Amino acid sequence: MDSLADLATPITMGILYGGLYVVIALGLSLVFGVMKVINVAHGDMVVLGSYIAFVASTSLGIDPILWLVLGIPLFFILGIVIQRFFLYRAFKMSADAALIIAFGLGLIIQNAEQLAWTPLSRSLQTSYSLKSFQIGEVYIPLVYLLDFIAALIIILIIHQFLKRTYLGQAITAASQDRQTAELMGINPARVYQIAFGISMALAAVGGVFLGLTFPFTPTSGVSFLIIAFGVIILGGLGSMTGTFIGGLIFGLSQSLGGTFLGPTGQLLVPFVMVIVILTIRPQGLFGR
Amino acid sequence: MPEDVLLNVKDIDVFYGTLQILWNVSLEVLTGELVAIAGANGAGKSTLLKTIAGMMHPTTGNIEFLGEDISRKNAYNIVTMGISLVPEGRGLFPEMTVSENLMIGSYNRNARALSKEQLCRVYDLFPILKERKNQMAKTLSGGEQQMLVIGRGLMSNPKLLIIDEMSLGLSPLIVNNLFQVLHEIKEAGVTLLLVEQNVWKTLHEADRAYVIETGRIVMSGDALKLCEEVEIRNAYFGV
Amino acid sequence: MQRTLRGYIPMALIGLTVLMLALLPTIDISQIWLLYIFHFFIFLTLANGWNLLAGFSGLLALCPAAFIGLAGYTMTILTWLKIPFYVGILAGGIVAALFAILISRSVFRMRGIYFAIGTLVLPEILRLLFLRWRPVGGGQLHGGGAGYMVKGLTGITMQNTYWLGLAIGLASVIIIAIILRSKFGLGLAAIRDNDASASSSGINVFRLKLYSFIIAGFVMGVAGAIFYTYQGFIEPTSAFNIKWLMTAMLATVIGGKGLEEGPLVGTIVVVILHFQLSRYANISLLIQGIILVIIMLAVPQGITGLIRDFRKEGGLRALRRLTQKRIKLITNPRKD
Ligand SMILES: Nc1ncnc2c1ncn2[C@@H]1O[C@H](COP(=O)(O)OP(=O)(O)OP(=O)(O)O)[C@@H](O)[C@H]1O
Ligand SMILES: [Mg+2]
Repeated sequence: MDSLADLATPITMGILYGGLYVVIALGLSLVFGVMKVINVAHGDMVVLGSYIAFVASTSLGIDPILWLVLGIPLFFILGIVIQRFFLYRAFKMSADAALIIAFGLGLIIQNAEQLAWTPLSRSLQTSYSLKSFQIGEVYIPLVYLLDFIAALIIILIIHQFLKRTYLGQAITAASQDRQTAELMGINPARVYQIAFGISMALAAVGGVFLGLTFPFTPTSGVSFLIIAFGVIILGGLGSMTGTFIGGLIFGLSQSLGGTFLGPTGQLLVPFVMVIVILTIRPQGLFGR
Repeated sequence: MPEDVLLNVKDIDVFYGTLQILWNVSLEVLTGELVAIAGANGAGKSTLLKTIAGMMHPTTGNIEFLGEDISRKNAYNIVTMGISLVPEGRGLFPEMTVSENLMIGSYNRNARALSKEQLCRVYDLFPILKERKNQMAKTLSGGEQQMLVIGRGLMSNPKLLIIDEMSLGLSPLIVNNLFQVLHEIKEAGVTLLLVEQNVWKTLHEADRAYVIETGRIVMSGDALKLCEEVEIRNAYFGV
Repeated sequence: MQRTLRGYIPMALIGLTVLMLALLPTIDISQIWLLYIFHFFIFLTLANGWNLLAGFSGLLALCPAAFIGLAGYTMTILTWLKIPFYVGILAGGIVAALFAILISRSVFRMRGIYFAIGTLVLPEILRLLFLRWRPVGGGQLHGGGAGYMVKGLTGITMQNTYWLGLAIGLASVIIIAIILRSKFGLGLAAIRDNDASASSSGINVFRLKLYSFIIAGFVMGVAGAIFYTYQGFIEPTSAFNIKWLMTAMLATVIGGKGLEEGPLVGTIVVVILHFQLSRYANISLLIQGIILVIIMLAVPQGITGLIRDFRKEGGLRALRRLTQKRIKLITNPRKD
């Protein structure tokens, strides 16, 4: 890394594919916000989204992004089912029980994927996978730009949904004060279901862009969970701008980690960042 | 005239875990009344209100609202039926704006269609809220916050509005203003059930009152009469 | 008199069982059985360690793999430096305990889910570090990464390894038994009921949790190091693998989290699953995951907890309560 100019490429790339983490973290934080529970299987659900898109594109020939038209409602419903029949019941027992159940669900997903698609790494190949574009001296793969655009669109949609609809306001209210929300006529169980459904729909989106950006294996999920959690505590729970910037920062850290420390640095740097942030601010940077 | 009974609490016992808080409590609120509940700290006033609103459930006895048993219903269903509880300690949504806080008050399906008119009504009652409508709720002053939660309670278009400790921590001037508004609300046909520490003020404003002591109703009746009784009692017992 | 005699009977039974387990390798028993029981000891230790954390100390720590991997690597590296493996095993436990002390400064500031994720990251970081780091030269296994053979194991038989496993398994049971019957155990019980009120009643919550963390780190570390003397080689991806957590968690939850005998019962189930399904490795983990979810939903108190309830309430009533709960869940899942 001789000069700053050489860093232009990794910096731009990191910021762009950081959009991926924005999408993944947003799903995680919606559920965290209302239920105060981290779905430790969220990363695995994202990777499941990648695999389903993989099947859609390899055996049905559907473009992964186009697949989302079906994938989003499918995952939304899946989310409602999982929430209703598994997580909510565990949640009523204790926070530990919810975490253990989610852990078990993650394990089930991982090993089912391994049975179905082997432990080998896969990626989503499309006609535009190898395309890139040029800004000045810098060549950027097109899919990275797509990650960024997806993040922008998703953030805008979710923001509008939370602000402008009764259901979105119910989710916001329940995140801030569950008991009072109930007094407003909000059924918390229903809010949890909707939030979880949306979280899963976002996992489907995240999964597609993940598959377009990086190779994935059945066990990739944990890394994405950790980074997404890092994004939430860095950006602040419930803050859209925070989540957006947090995601980009983590993308950047991954890209620069890879540049300076080689392949293992790509995850090492973000992971160490998570530990450092958690240590400085054990309840999250915006402490709630 | 039984049609006039809006809320009928019959012989309820309420527990926190194994700890009994309310013993055999009965209470009636007639349509159009302003009823007050008075009692010392820890007497169980908030517990009684929470039970009526469905946040807790009695182990024995039942609660009827408009003739229907609501003692097993969840809080979010009871709002829809027309009972609105303004909780103690101003439970507002701090990171939502004033107008968002108000609008979420009309979340239940019976109130949604009327939300625009209700909002105007609330802004008429509390013009300051209109000025502050885009401000985060947490940035309001204590008095404004109390106006906000009362306004939010009205947004659900309730038949019965229950307010827990309205005047806590507010200056007498603001309390007077709030009572003024309560009368307007009452004129508009909303029945009111109030819990207050500020006994004198409340008893003078209310039609009827109940006094609750360590989980039991010890006195009830015409508010002004009760005033005198309490005075006599205090004179005797030197409370 | 009769009472005290009766009190000794279970003790005698336990002693006899241990003696039989110790003598097992001396009779002509199939190696595969030794292998099963060896795994039972290792998994039991992990479960006991995790139960001490999650079950008794309110620390839902997701980092057993960090203790195991670090201890395994310590032992392996030391054998490369010509230090006997049994010294390495002890050193491994100590390094794991030191690591527990080191990270406690950071992770003990975190609460609940933050603590869980904070501890989840640790083995991941270690894995990446060990993928980069070559502590001793040469000898790495195929496929890259810092894989090493364990040296100095010539002449060590399955019997020897078995006894090592028995020693740590037994030690973990005894340690837990002592802890639970001491003042330390009483303090933990107070913490588990309520952190805040325990600390206000003069219990040093931080110190007790730290002791639990160190002890669990040590026993899990020793078990891990012993496991790697059996395996004969170590590499980062499996050493710092989340599967270690899975095993510890599963054995604890199946048996009964927060119950002393829980890990013992749960580990038997896990070991049976492990070997019955070992031909289908993925299916095995899949089924373990499914069992974890089902147990947690249907019998959160675990098998031992269930048995305890049966004893306390009489079989029929407990069964009725269980089925009633199930019916209620089925008929109105949404109701609070
Ligand atoms: N969540 C709870 N768990 C256990 N006990 C509780 C709980 N909430 C209240 N209590 C107890 O119930 C009793 C009645 O409480 P409640 O809040 O109803 O009193 P109150 O009359 O509203 O008092 P105040 O005037 O101080 O608001 C008190 O002794 C209180 O300690
Ligand atoms: Mg009160």
